[in-house]
Amino acid sequence: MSFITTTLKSPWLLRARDLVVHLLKYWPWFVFSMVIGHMTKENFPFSHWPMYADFAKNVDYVFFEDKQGQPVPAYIFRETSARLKRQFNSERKREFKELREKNPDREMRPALEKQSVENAALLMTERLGQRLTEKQQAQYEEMRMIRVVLSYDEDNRIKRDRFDGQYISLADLPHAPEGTEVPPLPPQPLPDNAEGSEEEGAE
Amino acid sequence: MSSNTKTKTNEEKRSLFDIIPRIEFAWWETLCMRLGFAWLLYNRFPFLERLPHADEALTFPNGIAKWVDLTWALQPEAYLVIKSIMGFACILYVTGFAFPIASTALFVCFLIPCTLQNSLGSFSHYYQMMVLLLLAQALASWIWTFAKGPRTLVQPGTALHSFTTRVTLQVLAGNYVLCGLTKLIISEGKWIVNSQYMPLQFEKIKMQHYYNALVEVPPNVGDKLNAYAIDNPWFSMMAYTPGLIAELGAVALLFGRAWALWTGVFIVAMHYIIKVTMNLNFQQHEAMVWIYAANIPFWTVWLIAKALKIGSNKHELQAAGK
Repeated sequence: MSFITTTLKSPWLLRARDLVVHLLKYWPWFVFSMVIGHMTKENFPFSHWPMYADFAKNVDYVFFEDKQGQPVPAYIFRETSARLKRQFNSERKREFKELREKNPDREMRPALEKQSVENAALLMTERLGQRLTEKQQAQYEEMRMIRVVLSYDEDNRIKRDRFDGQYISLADLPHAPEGTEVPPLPPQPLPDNAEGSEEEGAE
Repeated sequence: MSSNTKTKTNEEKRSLFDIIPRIEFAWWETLCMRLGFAWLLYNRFPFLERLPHADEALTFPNGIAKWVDLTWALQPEAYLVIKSIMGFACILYVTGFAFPIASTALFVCFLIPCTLQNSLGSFSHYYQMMVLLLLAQALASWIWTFAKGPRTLVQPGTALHSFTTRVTLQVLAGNYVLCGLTKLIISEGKWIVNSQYMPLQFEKIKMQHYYNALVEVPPNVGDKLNAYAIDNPWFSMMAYTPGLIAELGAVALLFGRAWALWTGVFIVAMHYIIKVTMNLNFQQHEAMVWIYAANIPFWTVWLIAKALKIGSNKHELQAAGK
Protein backbone atom coordinates (compact mmCIF):
# COMPACT_ATOMS: atom_id res chain seq x y z
CA MET A 1 0.00 0.00 0.00
CA SER A 2 2.81 2.36 0.90
CA PHE A 3 4.40 1.50 -2.45
CA ILE A 4 1.29 2.71 -4.27
CA THR A 5 1.14 5.87 -2.15
CA THR A 6 4.81 6.58 -2.78
CA THR A 7 4.36 6.00 -6.53
CA LEU A 8 1.36 8.31 -6.66
CA LYS A 9 3.40 10.99 -4.94
CA SER A 10 6.31 10.53 -7.34
CA PRO A 11 7.48 13.88 -8.72
CA TRP A 12 7.36 12.44 -12.26
CA LEU A 13 3.68 11.56 -11.94
CA LEU A 14 2.97 14.93 -10.39
CA ARG A 15 4.75 16.64 -13.28
CA ALA A 16 2.66 14.69 -15.77
CA ARG A 17 -0.50 15.62 -13.88
CA ASP A 18 0.57 19.28 -13.77
CA LEU A 19 1.17 19.20 -17.53
CA VAL A 20 -2.31 17.84 -18.21
CA VAL A 21 -3.87 20.35 -15.81
CA HIS A 22 -1.88 23.16 -17.40
CA LEU A 23 -2.92 22.16 -20.91
CA LEU A 24 -6.58 21.85 -19.95
CA LYS A 25 -6.54 25.11 -18.05
CA TYR A 26 -4.72 27.30 -20.51
CA TRP A 27 -5.03 25.58 -23.88
CA PRO A 28 -8.43 23.85 -23.68
CA TRP A 29 -9.21 24.43 -27.37
CA PHE A 30 -5.90 22.91 -28.34
CA VAL A 31 -6.56 19.78 -26.27
CA PHE A 32 -10.21 19.34 -27.20
CA SER A 33 -9.63 19.87 -30.92
CA MET A 34 -7.15 16.98 -30.81
CA VAL A 35 -9.37 14.74 -28.67
CA ILE A 36 -12.50 15.38 -30.77
CA GLY A 37 -10.60 14.91 -34.04
CA HIS A 38 -9.11 11.63 -32.84
CA MET A 39 -12.44 10.31 -31.59
CA THR A 40 -14.67 11.36 -34.47
CA LYS A 41 -12.22 10.25 -37.20
CA GLU A 42 -13.55 11.17 -40.64
CA ASN A 43 -16.78 13.02 -39.94
CA PHE A 44 -16.87 16.40 -41.60
CA PRO A 45 -15.71 18.90 -40.42
CA PHE A 46 -13.75 16.77 -37.97
CA SER A 47 -10.84 14.67 -39.07
CA HIS A 48 -7.95 12.80 -37.55
CA TRP A 49 -5.93 13.61 -40.69
CA PRO A 50 -5.07 10.08 -41.84
CA MET A 51 -3.62 11.12 -45.23
CA TYR A 52 -0.23 9.47 -45.70
CA ALA A 53 -0.33 8.28 -42.10
CA ASP A 54 1.45 5.17 -43.30
CA PHE A 55 3.14 4.18 -46.53
CA ALA A 56 1.93 0.88 -47.88
CA LYS A 57 4.15 -1.41 -49.94
CA ASN A 58 1.54 -1.28 -52.67
CA VAL A 59 -0.72 1.59 -53.70
CA ASP A 60 -3.45 1.78 -56.30
CA TYR A 61 -5.22 4.19 -58.62
CA VAL A 62 -8.26 3.75 -60.84
CA PHE A 63 -9.53 5.12 -64.14
CA PHE A 64 -12.20 4.34 -66.71
CA GLU A 65 -11.88 3.09 -70.27
CA ASP A 66 -14.35 3.30 -73.14
CA LYS A 67 -15.21 0.57 -75.64
CA GLN A 68 -12.10 1.33 -77.70
CA GLY A 69 -9.88 1.00 -74.62
CA GLN A 70 -9.26 4.76 -74.50
CA PRO A 71 -9.16 6.32 -71.01
CA VAL A 72 -12.08 8.56 -70.02
CA PRO A 73 -10.91 11.70 -68.11
CA ALA A 74 -12.17 11.96 -64.53
CA TYR A 75 -13.45 15.53 -64.96
CA ILE A 76 -16.16 14.21 -67.30
CA PHE A 77 -17.73 12.67 -64.18
CA ARG A 78 -17.30 15.91 -62.17
CA GLU A 79 -14.66 14.10 -60.15
CA THR A 80 -10.92 13.90 -59.80
CA SER A 81 -8.93 10.74 -60.21
CA ALA A 82 -7.93 10.84 -56.52
CA ARG A 83 -11.58 11.05 -55.44
CA LEU A 84 -12.55 8.17 -57.76
CA LYS A 85 -9.90 5.99 -56.20
CA ARG A 86 -11.11 6.76 -52.68
CA GLN A 87 -14.71 6.12 -53.68
CA PHE A 88 -13.70 2.81 -55.21
CA ASN A 89 -11.86 1.75 -52.07
CA SER A 90 -14.83 2.67 -49.87
CA GLU A 91 -17.07 0.54 -52.12
CA ARG A 92 -14.52 -2.28 -52.12
CA LYS A 93 -14.27 -2.34 -48.34
CA ARG A 94 -18.04 -2.32 -47.93
CA GLU A 95 -18.42 -5.14 -50.47
CA PHE A 96 -15.72 -7.16 -48.74
CA LYS A 97 -17.37 -6.68 -45.35
CA GLU A 98 -20.72 -7.87 -46.70
CA LEU A 99 -19.14 -10.87 -48.43
CA ARG A 100 -17.23 -11.80 -45.28
CA GLU A 101 -20.41 -11.78 -43.25
CA LYS A 102 -21.85 -14.38 -45.60
CA ASN A 103 -18.61 -16.44 -45.89
CA PRO A 104 -16.55 -16.12 -42.73
CA ASP A 105 -14.14 -18.95 -43.70
CA ARG A 106 -10.53 -17.84 -43.62
CA GLU A 107 -9.69 -19.82 -46.77
CA MET A 108 -12.27 -17.84 -48.68
CA ARG A 109 -10.60 -14.52 -47.97
CA PRO A 110 -8.49 -14.20 -51.19
CA ALA A 111 -11.47 -15.14 -53.35
CA LEU A 112 -13.69 -12.67 -51.49
CA GLU A 113 -11.10 -9.93 -51.89
CA LYS A 114 -11.08 -10.54 -55.63
CA GLN A 115 -14.86 -10.63 -55.72
CA SER A 116 -15.12 -7.37 -53.77
CA VAL A 117 -12.83 -5.64 -56.29
CA GLU A 118 -15.01 -6.88 -59.18
CA ASN A 119 -18.24 -5.86 -57.45
CA ALA A 120 -16.94 -2.42 -56.49
CA ALA A 121 -15.66 -1.79 -60.04
CA LEU A 122 -19.08 -2.68 -61.43
CA LEU A 123 -20.91 -0.46 -58.94
CA MET A 124 -18.59 2.44 -59.69
CA THR A 125 -19.04 2.04 -63.45
CA GLU A 126 -22.82 1.92 -63.11
CA ARG A 127 -22.96 4.95 -60.83
CA LEU A 128 -20.59 7.16 -62.78
CA GLY A 129 -21.98 6.14 -66.16
CA GLN A 130 -25.20 7.83 -65.06
CA ARG A 131 -23.40 11.16 -64.71
CA LEU A 132 -22.87 11.28 -68.48
CA THR A 133 -25.34 12.88 -70.85
CA GLU A 134 -27.06 10.76 -73.51
CA LYS A 135 -24.67 12.19 -76.11
CA GLN A 136 -21.63 11.27 -74.05
CA GLN A 137 -23.01 7.80 -73.39
CA ALA A 138 -23.45 7.30 -77.13
CA GLN A 139 -19.90 8.53 -77.71
CA TYR A 140 -18.30 6.11 -75.25
CA GLU A 141 -20.77 3.24 -75.88
CA GLU A 142 -19.34 0.98 -73.18
CA MET A 143 -17.25 1.67 -70.13
CA ARG A 144 -15.25 -0.27 -67.56
CA MET A 145 -13.10 0.54 -64.56
CA ILE A 146 -9.40 -0.25 -64.45
CA ARG A 147 -7.48 -0.60 -61.21
CA VAL A 148 -3.68 -0.46 -61.22
CA VAL A 149 -1.73 -1.59 -58.16
CA LEU A 150 1.82 -0.27 -57.85
CA SER A 151 4.55 -2.08 -55.93
CA TYR A 152 8.30 -2.74 -56.15
CA ASP A 153 9.52 -5.77 -58.08
CA GLU A 154 12.57 -7.85 -57.17
CA ASP A 155 14.86 -5.39 -58.96
CA ASN A 156 13.43 -2.51 -56.94
CA ARG A 157 11.61 -1.10 -59.99
CA ILE A 158 7.96 -0.01 -59.93
CA LYS A 159 5.66 -2.84 -61.00
CA ARG A 160 2.06 -2.30 -62.24
CA ASP A 161 -0.58 -4.98 -61.70
CA ARG A 162 -3.68 -4.19 -63.70
CA PHE A 163 -7.23 -5.33 -62.98
CA ASP A 164 -9.80 -4.87 -65.75
CA GLY A 165 -13.39 -4.46 -64.63
CA GLN A 166 -16.40 -5.69 -66.54
CA TYR A 167 -17.67 -3.61 -69.48
CA ILE A 168 -21.10 -2.03 -69.05
CA SER A 169 -23.24 -0.79 -71.92
CA LEU A 170 -23.96 2.87 -71.24
CA ALA A 171 -27.08 2.81 -73.42
CA ASP A 172 -28.85 0.82 -70.68
CA LEU A 173 -28.15 3.39 -67.97
CA PRO A 174 -30.09 6.53 -67.01
CA HIS A 175 -28.32 9.68 -68.16
CA ALA A 176 -27.79 13.25 -67.04
CA PRO A 177 -29.80 16.00 -68.79
CA GLU A 178 -28.24 17.50 -71.91
CA GLY A 179 -26.36 20.70 -71.24
CA THR A 180 -25.10 19.55 -67.83
CA GLU A 181 -21.85 18.13 -69.14
CA VAL A 182 -18.71 19.67 -67.72
CA PRO A 183 -16.77 21.76 -70.25
CA PRO A 184 -13.31 20.46 -71.11
CA LEU A 185 -10.67 21.60 -68.68
CA PRO A 186 -7.76 23.68 -69.95
CA PRO A 187 -4.30 22.12 -69.75
CA GLN A 188 -2.30 22.38 -66.54
CA PRO A 189 -2.47 24.26 -64.27
CA LEU A 190 -6.18 23.60 -63.78
CA PRO A 191 -8.23 26.33 -62.09
CA ASP A 192 -9.42 23.98 -59.38
CA ASN A 193 -6.46 21.70 -59.62
CA ALA A 194 -5.46 22.19 -56.02
CA GLU A 195 -8.49 20.22 -54.99
CA GLY A 196 -7.69 17.36 -57.28
CA SER A 197 -4.12 17.20 -56.22
CA GLU A 198 -4.62 17.53 -52.53
CA GLU A 199 -3.67 14.98 -49.99
CA GLU A 200 -5.15 11.51 -49.93
CA GLY A 201 -7.04 9.65 -47.26
CA ALA A 202 -5.34 6.65 -45.78
CA GLU A 203 -6.13 3.25 -47.11
CA MET B 1 7.22 38.87 -0.73
CA SER B 2 5.42 41.52 -2.67
CA SER B 3 6.63 39.93 -5.91
CA ASN B 4 5.15 36.57 -4.88
CA THR B 5 1.88 38.20 -3.95
CA LYS B 6 1.79 40.00 -7.27
CA THR B 7 2.40 36.75 -9.18
CA LYS B 8 -0.27 35.01 -7.18
CA THR B 9 -2.74 37.81 -7.85
CA ASN B 10 -2.02 37.54 -11.56
CA GLU B 11 -2.56 33.78 -11.42
CA GLU B 12 -5.86 34.24 -9.61
CA LYS B 13 -7.00 36.73 -12.19
CA ARG B 14 -6.73 34.20 -15.00
CA SER B 15 -10.09 33.12 -16.25
CA LEU B 16 -11.45 30.83 -18.95
CA PHE B 17 -10.48 33.41 -21.55
CA ASP B 18 -6.88 33.79 -20.43
CA ILE B 19 -4.68 31.53 -22.43
CA ILE B 20 -0.97 31.43 -21.74
CA PRO B 21 1.00 33.04 -23.28
CA ARG B 22 -1.72 35.56 -23.66
CA ILE B 23 -1.37 37.64 -26.78
CA GLU B 24 -3.49 40.73 -26.97
CA PHE B 25 -4.14 41.22 -30.67
CA ALA B 26 -4.73 44.81 -31.69
CA TRP B 27 -7.90 45.73 -33.60
CA TRP B 28 -6.00 46.30 -36.85
CA GLU B 29 -4.34 42.89 -36.60
CA THR B 30 -7.62 41.04 -36.16
CA LEU B 31 -9.16 43.17 -38.92
CA CYS B 32 -6.38 42.09 -41.31
CA MET B 33 -6.89 38.47 -40.22
CA ARG B 34 -10.63 38.64 -40.78
CA LEU B 35 -10.07 40.25 -44.15
CA GLY B 36 -7.60 37.56 -45.18
CA PHE B 37 -9.71 34.68 -43.92
CA ALA B 38 -12.90 36.05 -45.49
CA TRP B 39 -11.08 36.45 -48.81
CA LEU B 40 -9.92 32.84 -48.55
CA LEU B 41 -13.42 31.61 -47.69
CA TYR B 42 -15.07 33.57 -50.49
CA ASN B 43 -12.62 32.36 -53.11
CA ARG B 44 -12.60 28.74 -52.01
CA PHE B 45 -16.30 28.05 -51.70
CA PRO B 46 -16.87 24.61 -53.30
CA PHE B 47 -18.13 24.72 -56.89
CA LEU B 48 -21.51 23.15 -57.57
CA GLU B 49 -19.83 21.09 -60.29
CA ARG B 50 -17.64 19.49 -57.64
CA LEU B 51 -20.60 18.30 -55.58
CA PRO B 52 -22.62 15.11 -56.15
CA HIS B 53 -25.20 15.28 -58.91
CA ALA B 54 -28.61 16.56 -57.75
CA ASP B 55 -30.36 13.24 -58.51
CA GLU B 56 -27.60 11.09 -57.13
CA ALA B 57 -27.95 9.06 -53.91
CA LEU B 58 -25.26 9.64 -51.29
CA THR B 59 -23.45 6.30 -51.20
CA PHE B 60 -21.50 7.01 -48.01
CA PRO B 61 -23.26 9.75 -45.99
CA ASN B 62 -20.72 11.56 -43.85
CA GLY B 63 -20.99 13.82 -40.78
CA ILE B 64 -24.45 15.28 -40.27
CA ALA B 65 -25.57 13.84 -43.64
CA LYS B 66 -25.94 10.54 -41.76
CA TRP B 67 -28.90 11.99 -39.89
CA VAL B 68 -30.08 15.01 -41.88
CA ASP B 69 -31.04 15.07 -45.55
CA LEU B 70 -28.89 17.79 -47.09
CA THR B 71 -29.42 16.85 -50.72
CA TRP B 72 -31.77 19.81 -51.25
CA ALA B 73 -28.64 21.94 -51.28
CA LEU B 74 -27.57 20.27 -54.53
CA GLN B 75 -30.33 22.01 -56.47
CA PRO B 76 -28.81 24.99 -58.34
CA GLU B 77 -31.28 27.45 -56.78
CA ALA B 78 -30.55 26.27 -53.23
CA TYR B 79 -26.82 26.34 -53.90
CA LEU B 80 -27.11 29.92 -55.15
CA VAL B 81 -28.95 30.96 -51.98
CA ILE B 82 -26.26 29.37 -49.79
CA LYS B 83 -23.52 31.04 -51.81
CA SER B 84 -25.25 34.43 -51.54
CA ILE B 85 -25.63 34.07 -47.77
CA MET B 86 -21.99 33.13 -47.63
CA GLY B 87 -21.07 36.31 -49.52
CA PHE B 88 -23.07 38.54 -47.17
CA ALA B 89 -21.72 36.71 -44.14
CA CYS B 90 -18.17 37.30 -45.38
CA ILE B 91 -18.79 41.06 -45.49
CA LEU B 92 -20.34 41.03 -42.02
CA TYR B 93 -17.46 38.88 -40.77
CA VAL B 94 -14.88 41.41 -41.97
CA THR B 95 -16.66 44.32 -40.29
CA GLY B 96 -16.54 42.48 -36.98
CA PHE B 97 -20.14 43.42 -36.14
CA ALA B 98 -22.43 40.60 -34.97
CA PHE B 99 -19.42 38.32 -35.08
CA PRO B 100 -21.15 35.26 -33.55
CA ILE B 101 -23.86 35.45 -36.21
CA ALA B 102 -21.45 36.03 -39.11
CA SER B 103 -19.09 33.20 -38.11
CA THR B 104 -21.98 30.79 -37.47
CA ALA B 105 -23.57 31.64 -40.84
CA LEU B 106 -20.26 31.06 -42.59
CA PHE B 107 -19.79 27.78 -40.76
CA VAL B 108 -23.23 26.51 -41.82
CA CYS B 109 -22.76 27.72 -45.42
CA PHE B 110 -19.56 25.69 -45.69
CA LEU B 111 -20.73 22.72 -43.63
CA ILE B 112 -23.59 21.81 -46.00
CA PRO B 113 -21.82 21.58 -49.38
CA CYS B 114 -18.57 20.24 -47.91
CA THR B 115 -20.42 17.46 -46.05
CA LEU B 116 -22.14 16.51 -49.30
CA GLN B 117 -18.84 16.48 -51.12
CA ASN B 118 -17.49 14.04 -48.55
CA SER B 119 -20.54 11.77 -48.76
CA LEU B 120 -19.56 9.67 -51.78
CA GLY B 121 -16.90 7.57 -50.11
CA SER B 122 -13.96 9.89 -50.72
CA PHE B 123 -12.75 12.21 -48.01
CA SER B 124 -11.21 15.44 -49.19
CA HIS B 125 -9.09 17.15 -46.59
CA TYR B 126 -9.35 20.38 -48.48
CA TYR B 127 -12.00 22.21 -46.47
CA GLN B 128 -11.73 20.62 -43.03
CA MET B 129 -9.28 23.06 -41.49
CA MET B 130 -11.14 26.15 -42.77
CA VAL B 131 -14.46 24.89 -41.48
CA LEU B 132 -12.95 23.80 -38.15
CA LEU B 133 -11.53 27.29 -37.64
CA LEU B 134 -14.95 28.74 -38.44
CA LEU B 135 -16.57 26.37 -35.96
CA ALA B 136 -14.06 27.32 -33.27
CA GLN B 137 -14.58 31.03 -33.92
CA ALA B 138 -18.36 30.65 -33.83
CA LEU B 139 -18.28 28.62 -30.60
CA ALA B 140 -15.78 30.95 -28.94
CA SER B 141 -17.75 34.05 -29.87
CA TRP B 142 -21.02 32.57 -28.56
CA ILE B 143 -19.32 31.58 -25.28
CA TRP B 144 -17.98 35.13 -25.05
CA THR B 145 -21.42 36.56 -25.73
CA PHE B 146 -23.10 34.45 -23.07
CA ALA B 147 -20.37 35.28 -20.56
CA LYS B 148 -20.16 39.02 -21.24
CA GLY B 149 -23.75 39.84 -21.98
CA PRO B 150 -25.99 40.11 -25.06
CA ARG B 151 -24.67 43.56 -26.00
CA THR B 152 -21.51 41.92 -27.30
CA LEU B 153 -23.62 40.00 -29.79
CA VAL B 154 -23.77 42.99 -32.12
CA GLN B 155 -20.95 45.22 -30.89
CA PRO B 156 -17.55 44.63 -32.38
CA GLY B 157 -14.91 44.40 -29.66
CA THR B 158 -11.16 44.15 -29.76
CA ALA B 159 -11.21 41.82 -26.76
CA LEU B 160 -13.66 39.43 -28.45
CA HIS B 161 -11.63 39.29 -31.66
CA SER B 162 -8.43 38.90 -29.71
CA PHE B 163 -9.98 35.97 -27.85
CA THR B 164 -11.32 34.27 -30.98
CA THR B 165 -7.91 34.68 -32.64
CA ARG B 166 -6.20 32.95 -29.70
CA VAL B 167 -8.76 30.16 -29.95
CA THR B 168 -8.17 29.92 -33.71
CA LEU B 169 -4.44 29.53 -33.15
CA GLN B 170 -5.08 26.76 -30.63
CA VAL B 171 -7.33 24.83 -33.01
CA LEU B 172 -4.85 25.32 -35.86
CA ALA B 173 -2.01 24.03 -33.70
CA GLY B 174 -4.13 21.19 -32.29
CA ASN B 175 -4.98 19.84 -35.71
CA TYR B 176 -1.41 19.97 -36.99
CA VAL B 177 -0.22 18.12 -33.89
CA LEU B 178 -3.06 15.60 -34.27
CA CYS B 179 -1.96 15.02 -37.87
CA GLY B 180 1.52 14.10 -36.63
CA LEU B 181 0.18 11.93 -33.82
CA THR B 182 -2.12 10.05 -36.22
CA LYS B 183 0.91 9.22 -38.38
CA LEU B 184 2.63 7.69 -35.36
CA ILE B 185 -0.51 5.83 -34.25
CA ILE B 186 -1.49 4.35 -37.64
CA SER B 187 2.06 3.45 -38.66
CA GLU B 188 2.74 2.08 -35.15
CA GLY B 189 5.72 4.39 -34.89
CA LYS B 190 7.26 3.28 -38.19
CA TRP B 191 6.29 6.31 -40.27
CA ILE B 192 9.84 7.51 -40.85
CA VAL B 193 11.11 4.04 -41.83
CA ASN B 194 8.11 3.40 -44.09
CA SER B 195 8.55 6.72 -45.88
CA GLN B 196 10.98 4.83 -48.15
CA TYR B 197 7.85 3.73 -50.07
CA MET B 198 7.01 7.33 -50.93
CA PRO B 199 8.10 6.97 -54.60
CA LEU B 200 5.13 4.63 -55.10
CA GLN B 201 2.84 7.36 -53.86
CA PHE B 202 4.51 9.86 -56.16
CA GLU B 203 3.95 7.60 -59.16
CA LYS B 204 0.32 7.14 -58.15
CA ILE B 205 -0.22 10.90 -57.79
CA LYS B 206 1.41 11.45 -61.20
CA MET B 207 -0.90 8.96 -62.86
CA GLN B 208 -3.90 10.47 -61.09
CA HIS B 209 -2.93 13.91 -62.40
CA TYR B 210 -2.88 12.43 -65.88
CA TYR B 211 -6.26 10.73 -65.61
CA ASN B 212 -7.89 13.93 -64.31
CA ALA B 213 -7.94 15.44 -67.80
CA LEU B 214 -5.62 13.16 -69.82
CA VAL B 215 -2.95 15.83 -69.73
CA GLU B 216 0.61 14.68 -69.16
CA VAL B 217 2.38 16.37 -66.25
CA PRO B 218 5.72 17.60 -67.61
CA PRO B 219 8.74 16.02 -65.89
CA ASN B 220 9.88 18.12 -62.99
CA VAL B 221 12.32 18.06 -60.12
CA GLY B 222 9.97 15.71 -58.24
CA ASP B 223 10.56 12.98 -60.85
CA LYS B 224 14.32 13.23 -60.42
CA LEU B 225 14.11 13.24 -56.64
CA ASN B 226 11.80 10.21 -56.56
CA ALA B 227 13.93 8.29 -59.07
CA TYR B 228 16.85 8.92 -56.73
CA ALA B 229 14.77 7.93 -53.69
CA ILE B 230 13.91 4.51 -55.18
CA ASP B 231 17.57 3.49 -55.03
CA ASN B 232 18.32 5.47 -51.88
CA PRO B 233 15.63 4.82 -49.26
CA TRP B 234 17.40 7.07 -46.74
CA PHE B 235 16.62 10.05 -48.95
CA SER B 236 12.85 9.78 -48.41
CA MET B 237 13.38 9.38 -44.68
CA MET B 238 15.57 12.47 -44.63
CA ALA B 239 13.18 14.51 -46.77
CA TYR B 240 9.97 13.70 -44.92
CA THR B 241 11.12 13.53 -41.29
CA PRO B 242 11.16 17.36 -40.97
CA GLY B 243 7.50 17.24 -42.01
CA LEU B 244 6.62 15.05 -39.07
CA ILE B 245 8.68 17.28 -36.77
CA ALA B 246 6.87 20.36 -38.11
CA GLU B 247 3.49 18.79 -37.42
CA LEU B 248 4.31 17.62 -33.91
CA GLY B 249 6.11 20.87 -33.19
CA ALA B 250 3.11 22.95 -34.28
CA VAL B 251 2.31 23.33 -30.58
CA ALA B 252 4.96 26.07 -30.70
CA LEU B 253 2.38 28.21 -32.51
CA LEU B 254 1.05 28.89 -29.02
CA PHE B 255 4.32 29.97 -27.44
CA GLY B 256 4.04 33.62 -28.45
CA ARG B 257 4.24 35.90 -31.45
CA ALA B 258 7.81 35.17 -32.52
CA TRP B 259 7.34 31.41 -32.02
CA ALA B 260 4.14 31.56 -34.06
CA LEU B 261 5.94 33.36 -36.88
CA TRP B 262 8.87 30.95 -37.13
CA THR B 263 6.73 27.84 -36.60
CA GLY B 264 4.37 29.11 -39.28
CA VAL B 265 7.26 29.64 -41.70
CA PHE B 266 8.53 26.13 -40.90
CA ILE B 267 5.08 24.65 -41.61
CA VAL B 268 4.82 26.51 -44.92
CA ALA B 269 8.30 25.24 -45.81
CA MET B 270 7.12 21.70 -45.03
CA HIS B 271 4.17 22.17 -47.39
CA TYR B 272 6.54 23.49 -50.04
CA ILE B 273 8.77 20.40 -49.78
CA ILE B 274 5.67 18.19 -50.17
CA LYS B 275 4.57 20.26 -53.17
CA VAL B 276 7.93 19.79 -54.89
CA THR B 277 8.42 16.13 -54.07
CA MET B 278 4.83 14.88 -54.27
CA ASN B 279 2.93 17.35 -56.49
CA LEU B 280 0.45 17.98 -53.68
CA ASN B 281 -0.86 21.47 -52.95
CA PHE B 282 -1.88 22.84 -49.58
CA GLN B 283 -2.80 26.35 -50.64
CA GLN B 284 -5.57 26.85 -48.10
CA HIS B 285 -3.57 25.45 -45.20
CA GLU B 286 -0.67 27.68 -46.12
CA ALA B 287 -2.96 30.71 -46.37
CA MET B 288 -4.37 30.05 -42.90
CA VAL B 289 -0.87 29.69 -41.45
CA TRP B 290 0.19 32.99 -43.08
CA ILE B 291 -2.94 34.74 -41.79
CA TYR B 292 -3.04 33.52 -38.19
CA ALA B 293 0.46 32.30 -37.33
CA ALA B 294 2.85 34.41 -39.37
CA ASN B 295 0.68 37.54 -38.84
CA ILE B 296 2.58 39.58 -41.41
CA PRO B 297 0.75 42.90 -40.71
CA PHE B 298 1.97 42.90 -37.10
CA TRP B 299 5.58 42.19 -38.01
CA THR B 300 5.49 44.76 -40.81
CA VAL B 301 4.34 47.43 -38.38
CA TRP B 302 6.87 46.21 -35.84
CA LEU B 303 9.71 46.48 -38.37
CA ILE B 304 8.61 49.94 -39.51
CA ALA B 305 8.29 51.08 -35.91
CA LYS B 306 11.72 49.73 -35.16
CA ALA B 307 13.22 51.38 -38.23
CA LEU B 308 11.66 54.70 -37.31
CA LYS B 309 12.55 54.11 -33.66
CA ILE B 310 9.09 55.06 -32.51
CA GLY B 311 8.83 52.14 -30.12
CA SER B 312 9.82 48.64 -31.12
CA ASN B 313 8.37 47.07 -27.99
CA LYS B 314 5.68 44.58 -28.89
CA HIS B 315 3.64 45.56 -25.83
CA GLU B 316 3.76 49.21 -26.85
CA LEU B 317 2.46 48.28 -30.29
CA GLN B 318 -0.33 46.26 -28.74
CA ALA B 319 -1.22 49.12 -26.42
CA ALA B 320 -1.21 51.50 -29.38
CA GLY B 321 -3.52 49.15 -31.18
CA LYS B 322 -5.98 49.18 -28.35
